[in-house]
Amino acid sequence: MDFYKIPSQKLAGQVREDPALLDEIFAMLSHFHNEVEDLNIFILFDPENIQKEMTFLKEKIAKGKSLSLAGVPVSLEDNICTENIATTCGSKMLSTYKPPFNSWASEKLQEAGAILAGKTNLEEFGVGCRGNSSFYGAAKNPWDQQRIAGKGAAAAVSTLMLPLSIATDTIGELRQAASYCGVIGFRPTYGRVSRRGVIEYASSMAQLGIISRKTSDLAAALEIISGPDPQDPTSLKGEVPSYRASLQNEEKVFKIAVPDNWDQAPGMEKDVKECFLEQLHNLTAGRVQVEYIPLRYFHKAYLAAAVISAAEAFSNLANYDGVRFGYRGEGKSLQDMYIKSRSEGFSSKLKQFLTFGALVSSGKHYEDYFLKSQRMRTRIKNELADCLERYDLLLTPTTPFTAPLAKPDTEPDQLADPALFYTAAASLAGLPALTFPLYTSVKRPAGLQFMGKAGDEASLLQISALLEERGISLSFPNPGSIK
Amino acid sequence: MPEMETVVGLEVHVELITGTKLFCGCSTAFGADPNTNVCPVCLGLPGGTLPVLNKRAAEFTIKAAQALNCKISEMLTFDRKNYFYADLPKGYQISQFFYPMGTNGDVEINIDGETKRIGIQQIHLEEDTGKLLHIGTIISSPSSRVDFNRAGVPLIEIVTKPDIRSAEEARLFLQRLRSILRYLEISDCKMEEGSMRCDANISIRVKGGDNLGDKTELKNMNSFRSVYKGIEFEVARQKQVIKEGGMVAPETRHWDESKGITKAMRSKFVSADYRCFPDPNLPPLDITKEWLETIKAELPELPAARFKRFLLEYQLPVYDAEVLTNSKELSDFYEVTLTYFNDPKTVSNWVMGELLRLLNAASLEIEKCNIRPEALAKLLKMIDKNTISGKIAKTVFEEMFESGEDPEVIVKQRGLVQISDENALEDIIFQVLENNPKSVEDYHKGKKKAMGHLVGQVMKETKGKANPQKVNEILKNKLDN
Amino acid sequence: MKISNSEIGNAAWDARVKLTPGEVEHLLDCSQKILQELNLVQKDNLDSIKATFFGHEQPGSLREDIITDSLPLAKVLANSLYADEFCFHVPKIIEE
Ligand SMILES: [Zn+2]
Repeated sequence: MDFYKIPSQKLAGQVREDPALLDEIFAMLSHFHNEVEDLNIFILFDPENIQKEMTFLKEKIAKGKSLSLAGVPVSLEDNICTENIATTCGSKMLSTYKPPFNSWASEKLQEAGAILAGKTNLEEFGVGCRGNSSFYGAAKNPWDQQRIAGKGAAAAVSTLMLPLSIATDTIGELRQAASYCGVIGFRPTYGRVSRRGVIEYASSMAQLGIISRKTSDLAAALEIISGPDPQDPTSLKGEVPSYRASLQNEEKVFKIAVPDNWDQAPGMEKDVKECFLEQLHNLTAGRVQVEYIPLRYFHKAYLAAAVISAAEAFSNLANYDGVRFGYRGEGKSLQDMYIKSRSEGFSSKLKQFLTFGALVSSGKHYEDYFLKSQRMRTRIKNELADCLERYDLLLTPTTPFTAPLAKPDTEPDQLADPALFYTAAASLAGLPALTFPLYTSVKRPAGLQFMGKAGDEASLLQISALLEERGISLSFPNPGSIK
Repeated sequence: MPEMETVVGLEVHVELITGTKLFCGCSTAFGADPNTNVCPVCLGLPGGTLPVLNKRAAEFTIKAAQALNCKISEMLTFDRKNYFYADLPKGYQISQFFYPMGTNGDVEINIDGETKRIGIQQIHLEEDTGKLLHIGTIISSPSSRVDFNRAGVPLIEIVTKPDIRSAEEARLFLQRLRSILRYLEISDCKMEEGSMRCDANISIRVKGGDNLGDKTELKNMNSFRSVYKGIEFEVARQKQVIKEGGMVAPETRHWDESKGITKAMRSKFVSADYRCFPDPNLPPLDITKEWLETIKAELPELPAARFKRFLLEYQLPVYDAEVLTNSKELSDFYEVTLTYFNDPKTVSNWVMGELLRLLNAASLEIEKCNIRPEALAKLLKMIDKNTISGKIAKTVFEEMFESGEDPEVIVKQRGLVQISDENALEDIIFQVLENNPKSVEDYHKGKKKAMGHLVGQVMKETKGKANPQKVNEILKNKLDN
Repeated sequence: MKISNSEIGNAAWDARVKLTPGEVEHLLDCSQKILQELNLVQKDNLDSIKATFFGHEQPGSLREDIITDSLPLAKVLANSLYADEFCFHVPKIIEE
């Protein structure tokens, strides 16, 4: 059976009816995993654990539990804690870490009957998107193995192996990867999904997001992992809207704003520019109105986000001291041991990032860099709020360019990566955002990024459904052709 | 040399007696095996560090700030203080750096019969750190061991203004502070057990003028006595340095209790840049007027107020009122006793005298004392009714203290009822006079001291139970006639 | 504002990482660039703008003071290679 063609909820229904289907799903996962092995998508793919979960699920189905994602294989990024299952963050530092607890997201998915298909590869601790820092090597792009995927999570969905992947989006890494791999990437409002059990590097921006190929799958998964969590003090209070129901609204008129200087990103690719313009043109019809608006601060977001995220990472990652968990280097004194553990356990890129974080938050630079960036953040936030008061959505490209070629390990990164030029603003402002695939003239994926009001995930799901409906159908590399 | 004065500011850390830690549900109980009261949050495990604020800890801190007459912050916020150390699991301590819970308060102390205000610069809430243990002695130990049971226990830090002018003032301030916090029932403030810790910033200057050197920070004073002795020593040391033409170096010094000296300490951190910034995991919370009022309504009568009331209401001497009200439990005990036996001065004498003497000798807290206020009142009534003598009463009291037995039962069982019956006494006195002719003779020669000897003999015969007044009366009568 | 080599060195120490001279060089270069761009950002007068430190404006929350289970000791120590039956080990610390 071609499981990848079936909407997740329908698949779940079939599994509930006939739990023996799980064996077929298992066979399919194993087959796919072999097919895509070269892509380095997973840090952990454990058939034994999958079978264990399936046995457990069969028992639950027998008990008549209502499981909306019964048997649906979902991957978690390897910075999302799974009890007693290695969670490495793509780092040598945590290569042996097995958390003694589950994340909120893994709990919720398990309760809904989803099968943990594996833990996906990521940049070390989820920082950046250049394919040069994972201890396990970069995840490759299913469209072109010479290029990076950005995240294993996006590649997994792009290859058709999985309908859904859960991953982190801090400055936009998830949207970026989804754009590179030609799939839908979704970042909910900050606080919508609990960060409990997520090893993130910048707490004021990190959110769990979802990667999928179908809007309906996305809505179903979002309903499951959303919700107030009393153990996350930033978790949004109040009831979670019914996202699936919001997809029924087919009359809604969308007023969409596009920044008039939308093409000003450093390194903007001509192809991306052209296909974005073309899509903009196609978009303006029927229920969709598009207007250009001036934005003054939007294009400064990636600079401010680089400073803020580095300062937070400096602090968030200070618990890696070689004592209670993680890699430990031998040192005669305590401070010596710290230096050895962290210098040997972190990649060169991460070390530089943490040092930059220490630099911008130091007594000398706190005011000038850290604080000013946080003030700039306020401006960006206000500007977006003003814009979204007048428009339903704000639209930009997701990335200025298509997936870059994998760089040799030695080639260093930029601290403020232009790849995050469009995605940083929503992260700074805590807004929900969605990337929908575009294809350039040479058939390489790019993305349309929509940003919505805080709390209004529904409009993003609706526009995604509308684009699907219009037949801007997604295309995927043929799984058979990957090798 | 011009007149010099001592300038001291104290930083006092106090552990709150909440049931759970500041940001997780782990127990704060003392004495558990190492690392058994820890969880992913307070251990700083990857993916496990989301802090959820303990409401009671916040309220305790607000209470303390109110009791110390502070201006309370409008926002409840927390910041990260970043540094690496073995007892700090997350690599940062969550504290209140930018907006301390309370600022600009004061505490009154009584010194040399006068009242003096010591300013409170700020009071804030933060997490405690873990504890370093060693295998064997610190020298022979191959490594240090870390126990994180205390990591995350709520602490309040109280920082005074540099208003303290002597070791004695520092001691009195600390005592008053402890007394206030214990009245609030938010901390047990035991310096010996580490639930109250005090560091002192010490400098000296020409009276009213500029500092003569940098200040030193004095640590490791584990009792009220060592705070007093440590400051005394450090002040003398600084004066000596200046007298010899030197300058006091800004440094952290360590009080060595056994040697009675202060020593320069190797600094704990190479960097002093804590890079404090608001903790993104803990969004600010409004401290509403309603919340403050609810908390304020729960504030008990505080030691200063109780002290004044005791002076007025019970007409006690200043000293008595001060000693009694220093401890909430002791003054509660006193007042409950009064409801059964309303003689403030007598009760005060017994509480301040016998009771405190026995408590101190047994190093016992009043809460753990066997004697209840009703029992003390009963005993005092028995003296009042001449059932027993005051002297016998002290013996009974000691037994009550040991066994917790009712005084009436003790008196009855041991046959301690006072002999006031004149016939019985006359018989005994007759016997005593017979047996002590020399004393009788002396008395008649005008040696009035002989009378005392005879009374003593009567008491000896009656095992102290004779009513001394009656004995005197009868003896005098017999001898003079 | 110019960033110096030694500032990068201090920051690396404060982050407890050791950088190679090449890394210091590169980081200096990158920092200089981004901070220059930020300086341009700062031409806008930001002093009167409130800083945003949080992901949203929802106020923080409080928890009742109720004890929950701690981790079993075996799980506490499971991820550490340097522990005895109760405690974690660190290189000997001599403070006094
Ligand atoms: Zn805990």
